[in-house]
Order: sequence, then structure tokens, then C-alpha cells
Amino acid sequence: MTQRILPFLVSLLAFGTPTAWAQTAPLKGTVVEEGSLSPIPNAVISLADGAVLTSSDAQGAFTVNVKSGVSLKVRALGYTDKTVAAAIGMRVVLVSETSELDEVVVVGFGTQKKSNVTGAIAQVKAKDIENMSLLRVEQALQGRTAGVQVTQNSGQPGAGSVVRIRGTASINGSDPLYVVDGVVIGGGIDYLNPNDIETIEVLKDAASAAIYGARGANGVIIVTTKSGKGAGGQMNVSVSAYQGIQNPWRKVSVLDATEYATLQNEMAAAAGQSIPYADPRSFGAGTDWQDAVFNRNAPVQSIDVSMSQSSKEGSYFASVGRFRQEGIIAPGRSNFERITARLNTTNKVHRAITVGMSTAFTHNTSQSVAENTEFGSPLGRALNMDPITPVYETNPLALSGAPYTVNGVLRPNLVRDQGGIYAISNRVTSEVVNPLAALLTNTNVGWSDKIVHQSYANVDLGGGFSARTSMGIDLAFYGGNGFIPSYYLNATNFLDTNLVTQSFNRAFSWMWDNTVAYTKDFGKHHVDAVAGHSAQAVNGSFIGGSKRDVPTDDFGFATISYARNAESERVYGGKWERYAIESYFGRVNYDYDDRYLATVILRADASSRFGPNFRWGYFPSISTGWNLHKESWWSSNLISSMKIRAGYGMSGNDAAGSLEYAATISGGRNYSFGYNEFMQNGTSPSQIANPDLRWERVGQANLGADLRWGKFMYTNLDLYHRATYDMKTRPVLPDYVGNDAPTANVGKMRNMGVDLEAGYERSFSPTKSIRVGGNVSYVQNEVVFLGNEEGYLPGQRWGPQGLEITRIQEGLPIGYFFGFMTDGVFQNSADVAGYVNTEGGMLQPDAVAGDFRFVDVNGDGAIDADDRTFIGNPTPDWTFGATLNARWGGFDAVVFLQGVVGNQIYNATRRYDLPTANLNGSALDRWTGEGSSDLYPRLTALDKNFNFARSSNFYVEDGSFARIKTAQLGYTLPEALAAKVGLKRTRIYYSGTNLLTLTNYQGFDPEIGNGFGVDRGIYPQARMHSIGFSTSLN
Amino acid sequence: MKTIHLSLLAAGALTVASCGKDFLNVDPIGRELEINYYQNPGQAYEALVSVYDVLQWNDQNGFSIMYLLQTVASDDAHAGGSDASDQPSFVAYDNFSLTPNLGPQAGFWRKNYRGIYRANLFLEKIDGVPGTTNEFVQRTTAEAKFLRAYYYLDLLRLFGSVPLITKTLSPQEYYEVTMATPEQIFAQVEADLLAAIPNLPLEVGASEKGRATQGAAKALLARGYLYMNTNMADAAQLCEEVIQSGVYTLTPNFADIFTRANEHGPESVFEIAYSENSTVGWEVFGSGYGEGNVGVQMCGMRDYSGPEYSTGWGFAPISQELYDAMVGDTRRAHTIIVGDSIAGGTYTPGYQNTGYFVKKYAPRQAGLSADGEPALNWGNNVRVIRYSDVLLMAAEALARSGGSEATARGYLNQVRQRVSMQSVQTSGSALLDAIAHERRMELATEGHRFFDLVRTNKAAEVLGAKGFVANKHEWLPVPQTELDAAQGALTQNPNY
Repeated sequence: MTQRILPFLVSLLAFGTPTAWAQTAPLKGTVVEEGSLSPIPNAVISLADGAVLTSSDAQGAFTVNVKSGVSLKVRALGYTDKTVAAAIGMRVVLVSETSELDEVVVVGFGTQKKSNVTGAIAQVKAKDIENMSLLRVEQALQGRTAGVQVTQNSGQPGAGSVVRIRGTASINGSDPLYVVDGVVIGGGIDYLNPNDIETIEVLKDAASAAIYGARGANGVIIVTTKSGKGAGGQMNVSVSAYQGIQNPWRKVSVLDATEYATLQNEMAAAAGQSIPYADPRSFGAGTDWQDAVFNRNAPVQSIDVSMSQSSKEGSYFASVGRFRQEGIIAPGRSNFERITARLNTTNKVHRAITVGMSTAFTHNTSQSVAENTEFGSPLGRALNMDPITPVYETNPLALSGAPYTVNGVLRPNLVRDQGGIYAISNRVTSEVVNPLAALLTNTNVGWSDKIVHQSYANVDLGGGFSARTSMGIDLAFYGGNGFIPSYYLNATNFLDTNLVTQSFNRAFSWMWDNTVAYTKDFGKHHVDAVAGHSAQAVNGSFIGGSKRDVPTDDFGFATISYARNAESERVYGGKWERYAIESYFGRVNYDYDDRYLATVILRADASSRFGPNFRWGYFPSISTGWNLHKESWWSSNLISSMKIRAGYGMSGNDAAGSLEYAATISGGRNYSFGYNEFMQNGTSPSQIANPDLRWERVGQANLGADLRWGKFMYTNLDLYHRATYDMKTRPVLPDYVGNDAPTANVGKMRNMGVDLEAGYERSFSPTKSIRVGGNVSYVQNEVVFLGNEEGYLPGQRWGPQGLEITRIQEGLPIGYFFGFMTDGVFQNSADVAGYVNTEGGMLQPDAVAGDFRFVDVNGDGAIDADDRTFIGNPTPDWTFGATLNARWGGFDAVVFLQGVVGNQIYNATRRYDLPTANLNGSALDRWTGEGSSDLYPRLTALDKNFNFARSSNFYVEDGSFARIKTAQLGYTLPEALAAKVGLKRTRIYYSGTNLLTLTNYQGFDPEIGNGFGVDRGIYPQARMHSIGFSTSLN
Repeated sequence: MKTIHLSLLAAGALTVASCGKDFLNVDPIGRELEINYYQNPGQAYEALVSVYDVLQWNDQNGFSIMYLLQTVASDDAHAGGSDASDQPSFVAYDNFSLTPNLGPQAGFWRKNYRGIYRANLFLEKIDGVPGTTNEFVQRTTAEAKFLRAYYYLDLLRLFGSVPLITKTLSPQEYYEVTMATPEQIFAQVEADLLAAIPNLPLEVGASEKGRATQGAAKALLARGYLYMNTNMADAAQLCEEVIQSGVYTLTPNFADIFTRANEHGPESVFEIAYSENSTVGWEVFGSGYGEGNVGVQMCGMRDYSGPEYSTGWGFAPISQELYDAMVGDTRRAHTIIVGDSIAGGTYTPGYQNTGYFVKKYAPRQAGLSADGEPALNWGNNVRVIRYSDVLLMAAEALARSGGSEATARGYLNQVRQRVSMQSVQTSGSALLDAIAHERRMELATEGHRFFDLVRTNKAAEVLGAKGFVANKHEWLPVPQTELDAAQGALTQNPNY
């Protein structure tokens, strides 16, 4: 009924009694939106004199009784009025008042017309991410916008992402600044419910980010949550939900038991040792540890309900949501749950005063397993564990001897469950223990409760002036409950008494922003200015404790409060040193006739992280633009609009610890004197001081062009150069200096790149449309200067021997892979003897046929540590994303593709130090004789040539991949059908995640956010199939 | 106009909103700044304790346990552990497959220079500390010099040549250092100890046991002279001063020397104090924060189950040679555990198992720490200088310097009489041989054997079969990481 009554009322109120109808035969027509061609309901159709005839219905259809050719005026809220000649079957196309280029973007302390933006700002809107089965907010940005690289840390439920805007600007923290509804958020934005998001803006260049000055160096991500929409006064209730199952999409090839025994025999024989396995075939296929560790059909579930309403006086948006995900590794040991609630309101309390607030509460719980470590991740163990050892030891003979028994008695702390006693390998040692047993030896449930609130008041002062004050808080409680039962996994991994731990943290941040804005037209000159002051302070506290030997081996009952063993109780706790930042800032946007554009920003920041000498930093920026298509001489049909932009700005990074500039006295340098071991406290400086520590600065130049090609195509192109100055490094001091080095502002880094976005959007009819969008980014990172005279910083190490496998070095990309270059395999002893230096000396005298030939990189006639060199780059040259959206009748389809090109992955999954660890399946193609392999060396238990025990390009693989991140097929029920059950727009869909991954990488997953390109057994991302629906009701 | 007034008001509000000066000043919580420190005798004393603290570090760059690794390097023990890959630095020192990247050198290097830095810092600060007495300044200065000499003597014996640093370095000086010769280093050791001796107490009270004494400094200097094969008469005199001081006596029963009850006992001239009370776990391993003697854990029998002892990791299994060499010596039963003949005891043989284990520092159930990670919290003190060592040094120095052989034999026989061994009556080189033999028997597994072999030029002969190469393995290689970090300021030891 509403659809019929409302237009009638509107017409009555607006234009008085309808007249002059029913004169001629009815003419039918429709009103649609330009571009999308979606129907426009409630459009008012009147005669030229203003007499209202009718209004369009929900399908945009209307019927008028006028003669053909009569001039009709069509108007609808939010669209430009249009006059058309009446005709049979006429289609009236209305142009939105806020067309693509007149959309508004949030720029920090204000908004700006998109068409007049001079910086590099990307925007992701709710409609782009709706119903995409997003697990967390950062995913909304993955592959969506050029220059923003989002890499999921792993597939572990609740795992975060690495977000890099235009490359990595610092070795000290390159995470962007997150601002949610005006509140600077600490600790990431995983507390947000993806369904609550209205827009996400990414301030990519310094000209935009300078408004957040001191902390804008890594880019700024501004999230705006939803508010009540429309002026209809009706309450809208939406429900959306999905349910999915997840599975691993790949297993890594490893040796089965027969192959393992065969190759172990070969290794022993090559080393002149006795053969350990007389009959390898007797072992059959053995245990598939990956199958044992993976959790099949792990469920994921999301449900979300929101209500919103809006009127002239105010609006609200309220939502509750719940998300649950089980991981694909280790049933019951890896999972995540997020419960969210939100209330956003605005109220016009006076004709000049608007107040509002946004409040969000989030409760998370998660359980996670170790990942990406060679020292005990379930998948790392699954790859290295020998396949002969069974999951459970059932052989009574084996159970009656070592290591299961001591003095003929079964060890009390063997790991067991309803399946029996977990087997202990007597072949592989160290941390490579039975992965299933190990999973039972640690339970840790992490939790957090977070409240983010902002209240503001906006006063229109008249004359173009307005003032705004806003107060935000970010309050987070988080902690964990852990329990380690007593266990015996092998001779070096056991615990005789259980351990229960608990931790509790509180972090509180407040910020107070006061701004004055001024907007005024002077003829064709338009000025938009804002000036303000901002202050923020953060503090926190923490406490935790542990107790040993509680009288239970059940996590659910393990608690510190058991009365016994009080002497084993440990407590720790403390407070954070306050972090405070104070800022003054101003911005002027100027344009002349929307043609010539300029923005100037100046911000001054002071951070408590620096000493009084260098506390304040100043961050200016300027950018200009030119809307060429607004010029009178512009007449191109090919290019319908064109804007060019240029800007340069400076932003800062105060990534430093509290009092990092000072040498503090550390305790714990204790010694006990006297007969009774009387402990004396000892103190000494923790490091050498650096009173000159100050801001890192990033200067960024940006050049861009935004073009629309005809009606349907657009391209946005940006070129940039980011230079990081005063980058903090901690030079490696020789140990003879005797204390740790301080950090100092000496480093330089550079990122150069190109961001390109292009799209094609076309509607063929109200129910038939296609939208294709893509983006490509190229970035080249170089560490220019580190300031320590050796020119590099040691990076990651691998294995118990600590092989150096990455470095940060001048002239090379950050965190590059470091090691020896191999040049094939010596095929025979003549090859070995013939590999000589200029003096004729053998370069590898210890090598034999089948060993790697290492390259004498520095040409000094010897193979030694100095020959280690660049062997790969973890940062991709190119990242890309592409989305295809299509609508056809009630059906819609989305395919979202994303990937990277030009990076490498260091495959550090094998325990090279344990000769009995299982091998990758590629070992079957090893060198076994002349001509057999030039890629994989011989296997031997006595690896004198260090084929495997050296970091080399043998471990480096191509990391490029392209992945169908999302493929979705949806169906929207006909409105009539939905209305029968009291629903409005209702859509059901199937969504597939990670359906297809194209990559040459041999490991579990090429997407490795956690670990900077080094795969030590990461938690792979799941392939997920889900079905869902969304509906709204009145 | 109204609007302008309003806007001025708003601008004024912004100014008012600006924060006070203290808003950005951070007060340290739970810690102190170096610039406000060293302001009273208590703080100076804590700084001195931090110099002592480094003595017991044994967790630098892996397991860097001086006495145990020196024993492994000698002919008295093998590397051991679970398998050949368990502790590569032990294996490399045992079979002399040392390379600049492989071996225990990085841990020793780092540990000793941390100690030297703290000693240098203390010596720079102590004169300006308000409220101190002369006596306090003199004694603590002497202790810091004693400790600096101790660290340098270890560096000298381990590496031969190292940089000689006697003050805290400014950034401009980091790469100006050069390698000093062993003679230059020893000259500093000698100067520090000679300066320390007069200001050190002859004895310390019950609550101060473990702090440096005159006897410790004199014996340490004598040890240095013997190692450098110089000033033998001075060495003899220093040892005799210690002997005649009347402070020390031999513990009547040899078996009691290494009991926990006999820590800082009558025979103890200098001892590194460990404690089972710091309750740390693996998370601090490598930081030097622990207070326990992890060497005890390492030399214990693997998976041991039975009476008296606690389980260990099977490192440094005693060699058959030492076991055989001690045949007929009453000290063998108190030096070597025969793992296979413990009634009711079982263990898992590890790598290079001989069935023989270190007894002097064996993990014993009675000493198992109740808190923290037990492996890292053994309280067994390391007997660095025992009175019997002083007697044997005195005997050797006398014999070498042309002093009274009768007196020398007397000192030697004091040591033998305690363990009911027949007196030695030889002279000349036979006497020196007898003293050397006695040192091996008396001091076995205490970390002296390797240095004794090196300083008497017997290392190649005795250890050649293990892989020892003369003019190379007397010293460890300079750690590759340190060579890299020093940017050319250091040179590698010969033949590495």
C-alpha cells in the first residue's frame, strides 16, 4: 500500500489538487537511473505548468493520460529534473545529482567532492563488499584498489593481514593509520563487523595523508560506518547470514613410508653407514601426517541483523552480528568467534547544532595453533615427521619399552586420548614430534572486549563558519587463558608438571579534536578551509600469572586459584608509560569554477616518544589539480572527463618505544653472594642512549590523471615516488662494545610505483548490467641507506643453526633473501676437479659428484661466507585485482580475482639439520648418477658440501600467484514473491572463496603475510563454499 | 560581524584546548634512567653486582659453559648429547672442526666483553658517586679491576689476540679498535690485578662469600703467569703468599669438595656463585638473566632414572682415556660416575656414550630446583680456583723457576696425601711431569686440562688424534659475526 499512497500524498502536498487528466488514452512509461538503469520509484510526473499527473511505482513504471508530444516534467529526490515529450513506452533517464564524479570522499576532518580531489585517495563502498563473505575488514581492501597490498597473514581463523600502502616505507613499522568514525584506533581494526561499513577511504599520497601528519607516513585508512539513510521515516530492518564449509585446497608432496625408508638407506649408504631399513617395502605407504592434521569441512558461520531509520530530526543505525569460524587445522584447536554490536546516531538538536555518536562493542575469542615456525607448528611437523611412525602406538611390544616406559612402567605423562597413546618417533628428534600429540599439549584461548565510542557536536556559526568538537575513546580489554598439561613427546620435549596461565590487559585511549571550518564562494572562487587542534593519550596496564601442578589435566578446570602449590605461583604486571600526541593542523581547499584546484595542508605534531630536543615535527603538503573537461574549449567525445593532479607532501612516523631515546637502567643483573645464596640485585644500562632520536619522515610526490572514456569506461593513473628519511635503525655493533646499540635516525628508503585502475560499467536494461573493474600496481622498494657502516641489517634466521636467510641491505629491496647461488649439480668427479679458480685450485675440494656447484660470487677463488648474495625478493613487483559483476534478470554473479607477480618465497619448511626428517616429494628426482638431475643434489647422511645446510637459491621459489578469491552467484527473489512473505529485497547466493589458485609455488599457500615471504610451515588459507542470504523487512 | 566574532571565539577555543607542557613528558614507570643513576652507594653496589653477574653467564649464543666446553676440548671427555647434531658447537670443539661460523666462540666473546663493559662503566662512574666512603670506593674499584682481569684472562686464553678496551667506547671509537697481542692483554691483566690486590680484603664474611679477595687475585695472576710462561718466580711467590695467608686449607675429604654444603668451603679460593632461586624458564635463555648452572643439566645422564642423580642431557661423557688414567687413583670414584653400575639406575646412552659421566658437577636429586625450568636453575657453584690448584701452581712455578724442589714436592704431596696417594719423590722434569699428572687427576673435568696442555706445548701430541692442529687450535677463531660487525677492525686468528 505504501507504494501507492506515498506518491499520492506527495503530489497532494506539493502541488495541490491534481487537474487535467483523463483526457486521452493512457501512455505508459518508466523512470530509470542513468548508468545503472535501475528503476526510480516515486518520481513525480507533472505537466509543464506544474500540475502533477502521477508518480512512478516501485518498478519505475507510470501511466499518464496525455497526448503524445506533450511536454512532461519528471522529478525525483536526488536526481536532476528532466523535461521530456510524452510518447508510447517512453523511458525517462534521470541523472543522479550525485553522479560518480560528484560523490564525496572523506579526507580526514572533513569531506571533499571527489571531482575536486587533488591527492591520491581510493574509496571502497559498501556495495562493493556487501555479501562477499568477508572474514575481516582488511579483506575489503584486498585487490580492490591500486597501491594497497593486503596479504593475509595466514588461514588461521582470526589471523590478521599485512596492509601496505604503496610499498614498505620503513623498517620500523609500516602499518597504515586506522581512523574509524574519526577515532584513531590502536591495535588494528579487526573489531569491526564488515557489514557495518559504509565506506573505506585510503589516503595514499602524502598530499592527502599530511592532515594526519605525524602518523600518516604509511598511509591512512579511514573507515566510516553506516548511519540511518533516506528521509522516508521508515524503519528498515536487514538480516544477512551465511554458512560455509572450509577445506585445505592443497597438500604438499612428501615421501611415503616406503620412499622414506628407501631414501634413508640411500643416505646412509652414501655416507658409508650401515643401512637402517632392510626392507623398505614392508612399511607400505605409512602415515599421511597432513591428512592427520587437517580438519575437513570446517564450518564458518555469520549472522548479522541491522536496523536503521532516518528523518529530518535525526537518524540511527543499530546492528548486532556474530561470526564463527573453525580452522582447517587441528579440530577444536584453531577457531575464532566475533560478536559485535553497534549504535550510530545523529540528532539535530537546534537549527544550527547537530550532535551524534557512534558506539561499537566487540567481543572476540580465539584459539590458535603455532604456525610458520620450524620449531613446532603442526604443519611443519607434519612435513618433517617420518611416515613410518603411526599416529597411535598400538603395538604392545613397542609400548613396553623405551621411550614409552621407564623401569618397566608406562610414563604417566604420555599423550593419549580416546584413540590410545600417541606414537613417539624414534627416527626424528628435536621439535619434530607427533603433531597430533603436540596439539593436545597446549590450550590457549585468547579473548578481547573492545569499546570504541565517539561523540561530536557540530555548530553552524553562520557566514560559512562552523565548529566541531569530538571526543573519542578506544577501550580494550584483552587477555588469555592457557594450560599446558604434563606431557612427554620425546626425550627433549616433555613437561612433568602442568602449567596454567592467565593474563589480563587493559588499554585505554582518548582523543579530543576541535576544528573550525569555513566554506565560502566568492564568485567563481570557492574556499573550503579547516583548522584544528587534536590531542590523544594512551595508557594501559597488564597483569598475569601462572601456577604449576594443578590437580587436573583438563583445560576447562585448570585455574590458578587452586589452593595447592602456592609457592609455584608467579605473578607479573605493570603499567604502560603514557603515550601522548598533540597536534595543530590546517587545510585549505581552493578551486576556481571547479576547474583549477589546489589544496594546502600544514600539520605540526608533538609526540611523547621523543626527547624535548626533537619532540615537534612539521608536515606540510601542497597539491593541485585541473579539471580539463570543465574548460569551455573541451570538446572531446572520446574522453568525456579528464583531471590531472600533482602533489608533494611530507608525513611522519613516530614508531618508537616509550623512552627509546634514553638509556634506562635494567635490573635482573643479579648475583648471589654468601653461604645462603643471598641474591643481590644488579643493575646496568639496557642500551646506549640517543638523545637525538626523532621523527621518521616520508616525502612523497604524486602525479595522477583521472579519465572517463565516453560513457562507460574510466581509468585512474597515479605515479609516485616516496622517500623515507631519518629512518630509525639499530646498527649492529660489534660485541666488544659491550652493550646494545641505540636506535638512530640515519636510514633512508625509497618506494617508486605506478597505480592504475580501470573499469567498464554498463547497463543494458534495468535488470541487465555488467561492471568490470581492475587495478594493477607496480612498486619498487629499495633500502637506500642504513647508516651502519656494514650497510646491512641481519634479518631472519632459519633452524637451530640460525642460518641467515634474509637481510635488509642498502641498494636492495627490504628483507631480500640471502644465501649462496648454486649452479647446477656436479655430474661426475671430472666436473668437481674441473671447477677451479684462476690459480687452478679446486673451489670445492670436499665435493663429490652429485653435490651442488656453488658460485664464487665475489670471484676470490674460494667458496665461503662472502659468496652469499641476493637470491630472491619477497616483495612482489606487481599486484593486481579484478572484479566482474554481472546482473541478468534476478541473477547476479561476481568473480573477484587477485594476485601478485614477481616475488619469491623462501621455502624453509624442511628441518635441514635433521637428516632423518622426511623429505619433500621432489627428493624422488634427486641426483642419482650422471645426468639424472641438475637441480636436486644427491642425498647423503654426511653432507660435507653443505648442499642442504647452506642458505641457497635451492630453497627459493617463484611466489607469483593468481587466485579466484571470490566467485559468487546470487538470485534476487521477485519483489512480488518476497512481498508475499512480508520481505523486501531478498537475495540468496552461493559464494566460493579461494576456488582456484594458479602458482608455481610448491608449498601450502603462496600468500604469506606473516613471515615476510619465508614459509616455515604456514597455516594455508581455506577453500570455502558458502551459501547465504540477505533480506530486508519493514 | 557576528560570524567573525563567533569564529574568533572558536579559534580561541582551539588555543584553550591546547595541552599543558607536562602532557608530552613521560615519566618512566618501573625503570630508571641512566642519567639519574649512580647517585648513592646502593646504586653503585648494584652496578658492581652487575659486573659479577656476567661471571655466571652460560647461555650466550647457545650453551657457553666454560668449564664444560674446556673439558670437552681436552682428552678427558667427548661432546655427547642426543646425537651428532645436538650441540654443533660442542662437537666442533671436541673434534676441532671449528670454523669462524661454527664453535663456541661467539658466546665466549660476547660474555666476556659484556663483563668488561660493565667493569669499565663502573670504574668510570665510581669516583663521582655521592655519599661513598674511601674504603667503599677502594674495595669496589679493586673488585671491578679483578673482574676485568678475570674476563680478559679468559679472552686471552680462548682467543690469543683480542681488542683491548679499558673504557666505555663512544660511537666515534667503535671501529678504531685494533687487535692487541697476548702480551699486551696480559700486561693489562697484570696491572689490574696488581692494583687490586692491596685493596682487596684477605677474607670476607659469611654473607659476602664469592666476592673477590686478595687470595683470589693473587692466584688468578699466578694462573696468568703460568699460562703466559713468564714471571715464574713471581707466580711462585704469589701462590706461597696465598698458602701462607692461612686463610685456606684442603677439605679433608676429597668427596666433599663439590657438595652443595661445601660451597665457599675452606678450599675455595674463588668460586662462581649459581643459584636455584631465580626460577627462570627457557624464555630468558640467551639473555644472561638466569642464575642457574646449566652445565650441571648438560653433563647428567640422559633419561636417568634411579637413586641420587637427576636426569640430564648426556653431554661431556668422560673418555675411556681419563677413566683408564685414573686407575688406582682414589679420586676416580669421586670424579667419574660409572653409569652402568648404579644399583637401580638406568639411563639412555647418548651420542659418544662411554658409560662414564662427570661427577663433580653431576645433577643430583637433592639439588633439583623446585621452580622455573629445572634444567636452567641448578645452583651448583663452579669452583674456579681451589686451594689444591694453588698448591700445584706453587709447586710448578717453583720447579720451573729454579726454586726449591723440596718445597715444590711438599706442596704436591700435600695434595696427594689428602687423597691417600703415595708421596712423590722425583725431581727435574720428572717432577714437572708428576705435577702435570697430578693436575689432571686432582682437577679433572674442572676445565683446566685443555689450557694446561696448550701452555705446556703438549696439546698437539695429546689431542692430535682428536683433530687438534698446532698453531691453530690453541685458540678459537674470532666469531664471523664479530668480524663482520667490526668492519675490518679485527683480524682472524691464524689458519682459520
